[in-house]
Amino acid sequence: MKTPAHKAEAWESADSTFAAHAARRRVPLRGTFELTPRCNFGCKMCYIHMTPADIASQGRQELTAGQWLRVARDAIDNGTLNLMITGGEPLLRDDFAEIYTEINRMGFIIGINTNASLVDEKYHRLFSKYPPSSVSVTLYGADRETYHSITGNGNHFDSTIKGLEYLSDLPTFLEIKATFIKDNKDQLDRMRETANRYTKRFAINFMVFKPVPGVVSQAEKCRLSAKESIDIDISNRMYYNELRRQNKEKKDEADKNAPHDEDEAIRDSKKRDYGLDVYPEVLTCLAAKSAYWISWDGRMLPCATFDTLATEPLKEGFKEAWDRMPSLFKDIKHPQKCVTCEYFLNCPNCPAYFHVETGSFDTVSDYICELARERNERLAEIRNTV
Amino acid sequence: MKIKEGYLLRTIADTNIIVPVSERVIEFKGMIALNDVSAEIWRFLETEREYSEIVDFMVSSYDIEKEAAEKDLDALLKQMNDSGVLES
Repeated sequence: MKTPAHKAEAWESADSTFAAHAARRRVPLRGTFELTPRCNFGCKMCYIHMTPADIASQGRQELTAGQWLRVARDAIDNGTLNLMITGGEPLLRDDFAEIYTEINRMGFIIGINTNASLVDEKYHRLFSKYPPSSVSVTLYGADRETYHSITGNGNHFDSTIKGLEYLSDLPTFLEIKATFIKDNKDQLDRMRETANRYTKRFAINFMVFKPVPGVVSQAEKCRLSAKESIDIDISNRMYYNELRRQNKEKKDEADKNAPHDEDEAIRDSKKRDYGLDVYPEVLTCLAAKSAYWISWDGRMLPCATFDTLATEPLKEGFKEAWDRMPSLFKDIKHPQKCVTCEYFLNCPNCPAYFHVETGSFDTVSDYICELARERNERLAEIRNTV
Repeated sequence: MKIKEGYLLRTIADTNIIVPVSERVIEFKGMIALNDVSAEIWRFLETEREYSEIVDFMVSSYDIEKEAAEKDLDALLKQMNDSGVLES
């Protein structure tokens, strides 16, 4: 008899991520439910935000609560474990609590993306009783003026801070992500300080893409240049490198007499399997391999940015829609210019990004090329200096 | 003894996984993966059981000696207790 206490043999965590394990078995492990494209913010660079009039003009409708719960049950039956709830602003839905409460009982590990501004006493009660495993909040600035400039209303800063106070009180993993455009490019330190009042988990985003079809944004006008983007990236990296260095010094001092774990060192040196080579290899993430996105109108997409490649889980069945997804990529290849580029392996050269930027999956985007070039050259400079 | 309410045993990608739901998310972080035998015992423990009942279940299900069953069960119960998934 096998010892019951042994680890599960089907998946050994040391050499493979569970997402890779799922990808190799074509299991849709990670799902995202985009409950609505509506948002109470009007961020000038948003690639996805739609007004009720935009929605009506396209003749499309948001899924009802009942339809979301049907998709959720199908997702459970087909092996989804991690479920991200997002928008637009998902808390804007009048029936959010109804959907969330029901989904929470099904057996997902749930995360929520929100701008936090609608989190009030009512949502605090809901999330205290049924906590999500994680909440990710996007921060747009460190003051009312910046929020006014980006989201259209300075009061959104106050409501975001109030929401963060509620969220930081929950037994949940809180992350704050800062998105940078020209309006807030000088606020990295202040935004990180603001975030650190509520959580140590702080991440940045400087990649701002043109909108998906049917959405209007000012992304091209307000996004950062490659140099500005990488300035922020490097500045943030240096901050955390310094923090790590200080912590390491403390740890080294504490560990001076502790035995060295050679097994751990060997394990860490092994390359883990992330499943990225699973078909469609043209995608350098796990989209359509073990991850999917259900759009507000019920289409199954590889991710939010692949808005034009979709299957229809409510019409053809969830499993059929998932199984058919890789076939959508059969004619999509990396542009030749990318394949021969020296930065190919360190570049966000996703066909989805090319499509939103150029209208074609295989046309190289200057925006992405410049980001990759700047990032690789600047990081090389830093390595050489060190 | 019995598994607390609010833990679901799911089989995903050939792997048995314990997922906390609703209020249990507060007290349980992370993930437990079980092999098939442990998963069988988990299911058995979803109903209130005496220690001797579980041992009898293991002996009859897996054709093993009582002493071996007790040793394996003790190890599993220790892990379950450490994870806080058993009713006290």
